[in-house]
Amino acid sequence: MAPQSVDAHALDLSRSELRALLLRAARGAGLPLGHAEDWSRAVSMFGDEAALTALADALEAGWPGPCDPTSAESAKALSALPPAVDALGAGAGRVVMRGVDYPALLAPYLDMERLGRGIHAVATVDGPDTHLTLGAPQPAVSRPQRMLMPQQLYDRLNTLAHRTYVPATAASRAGAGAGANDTD
Amino acid sequence: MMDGAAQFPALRPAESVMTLERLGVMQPTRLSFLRVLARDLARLGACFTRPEWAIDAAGHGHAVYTVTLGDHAYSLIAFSQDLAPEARSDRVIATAWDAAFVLFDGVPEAADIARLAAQVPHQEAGRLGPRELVLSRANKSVRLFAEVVGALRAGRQPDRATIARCGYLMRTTAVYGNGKFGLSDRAAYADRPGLSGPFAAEMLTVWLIRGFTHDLVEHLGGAPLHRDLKRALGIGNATGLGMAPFLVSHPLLLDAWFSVKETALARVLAVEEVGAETGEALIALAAQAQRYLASWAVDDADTMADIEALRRDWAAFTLDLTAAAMPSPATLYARAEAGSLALQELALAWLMEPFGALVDDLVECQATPFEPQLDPTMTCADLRELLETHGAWALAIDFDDAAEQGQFWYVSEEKLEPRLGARASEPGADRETPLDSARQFQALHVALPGRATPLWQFLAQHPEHRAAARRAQALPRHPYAEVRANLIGSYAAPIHLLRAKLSFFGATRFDPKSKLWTRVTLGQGLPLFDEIGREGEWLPSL
Repeated sequence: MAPQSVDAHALDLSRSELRALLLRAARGAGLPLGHAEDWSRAVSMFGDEAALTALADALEAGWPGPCDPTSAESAKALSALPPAVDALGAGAGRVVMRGVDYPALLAPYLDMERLGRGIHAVATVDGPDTHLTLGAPQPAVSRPQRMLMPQQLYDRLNTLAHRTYVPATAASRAGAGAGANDTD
Repeated sequence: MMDGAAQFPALRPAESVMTLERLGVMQPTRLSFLRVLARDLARLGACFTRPEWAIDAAGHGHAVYTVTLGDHAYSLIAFSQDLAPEARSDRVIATAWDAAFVLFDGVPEAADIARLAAQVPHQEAGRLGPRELVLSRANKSVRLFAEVVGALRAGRQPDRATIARCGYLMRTTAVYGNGKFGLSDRAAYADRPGLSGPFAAEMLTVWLIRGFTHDLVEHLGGAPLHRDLKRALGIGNATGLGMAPFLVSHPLLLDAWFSVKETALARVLAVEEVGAETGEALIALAAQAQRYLASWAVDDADTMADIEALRRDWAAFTLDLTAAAMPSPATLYARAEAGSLALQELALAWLMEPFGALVDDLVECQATPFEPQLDPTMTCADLRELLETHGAWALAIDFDDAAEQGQFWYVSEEKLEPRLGARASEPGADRETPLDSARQFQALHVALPGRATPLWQFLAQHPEHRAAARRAQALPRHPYAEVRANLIGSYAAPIHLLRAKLSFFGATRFDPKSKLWTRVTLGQGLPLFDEIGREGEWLPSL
């Protein structure tokens, strides 16, 4: 059920709602669970609509499949960013990603990794290449707790999330709760 | 006299603590969240007022209760309405309730109440905002509510046995927090006095709702209800599958709850000598437990048989105890270990009860903001070894046996609620909710090469194992993070997960109605509004 809104064009979502929606949308888009978890965690760092729109675009394009971030000719942000940060965390001095498809996803994802794993990756764009290197620890990024999300963007993400839902059946409802009428 | 304490013994191993069978017999302890609430109300010198009581002669309208914790005031706004008997359902799919509640951050203005009156009674179909912390609703226990009001109107107190049998005037069917339906995120208030513990805002709401139900029957009955009867009246709760996935999706929080409980037990078991005062307290508490067990009756025959067995075991276990010659906690617990799991869990809760000075500070560690993080420096061989050491329980399951994958969890389209389906006969397994940690661990173990390949390289090529790798890596430092069971096996009963979580809440009178849902009572024995400072009771009975 879509949240109602005072403003017909925007929804005031809590971070928890946003994160739950993103986890389901990412799974609905076909991301493996671990990547879906990473991107839903990153949504806490999404400060503006542009980054979230880019994520919706990427999810609607579907799971691009495994991606070695160090050798891909055209890096898919959804699949390449988590292992790219892994590589930095494991000691790689630099990871060069060529032709990142959704560059707007870089900053919030790297913010999340700074806060979560303490891997302080810095992105530098050089033509078609994005260079990821370890940088000096930065102070934690302060983000607003809630987000005003345009209704249209919510609907797009919710459509993806719906792919993970299952119509309940009489069998599944049986025994799962109190009787339809309960007057004890 | 101080009780002597020695070196702490090792914590009980997760292989024993985290089985479904043990989770399914857990009891509330003094570390349970409702008990913590009672102590926090006292510690913070909570001030309580009822600034608004706009309830009519039929019991309908709204009321506001305000409690101050530290520098913050919180208000329960209660909306009570007429509800046709045929509309009274405890199912989460219900659309109307006798009463609806919201915990408001601050003291509401008239405009706030008007706004919330248009939203709160609709529950999931309404929309809340950042000033609202918790949303709940409740239905009357028609039988007891009418009995109590009728008795008060007739100038007498209600029948004690009837109150003892039911234990609540209203039964909540959901207590939502942490951002659901637009509510404030927990992170926005988790550092405030009295609200930092897990589910603290939800427990505060339940306690305030309980007081509202007392006031409502006194208002309708036109006479006060005796104090001891009010203490014995908690709030009912009907809980189903919606509660179960939380324990899987919050592994480090689960570990925190159990680590605190097991550490508390270890501290108590390290006490070498029990002083006379503590001995007397244990004798009194043993009798309290016996009274509680004697009054705990349910319809389900299997559960009732278990309760009867526990009554006998407890009577035998405590038969020869005297305050003057009380054995050490370690000796007592060793005796309990020779008995059933149910006896062990009751005994450890009993042993903790008089040792507040030794264990109560641990509750500060029951909340955690952390989540599992992937360590990319590990090698595949190391992760394989880790799984073999810490995940042996998962690797031992034969997933070629269809029964081991007989169930699947999913989210229902109609209410976005967790459900459990039979894999062989119901549609939807292709959209399964991933609560299958054991199967994921085993699949990861099979796929991992035994070489020193960097884990991050393996996961770049096999991203389907990323989630399991992250969870597995948490196990050495967080051994209680996983329920040691296959939650998709045909035999896995979610009711055990509910029992564990509800015991941490402090719920009593567990009353399972199937393997999927249960009724319990919350807040019995807690202080009344004018009794802040009084300790809550461990296992209350009339």
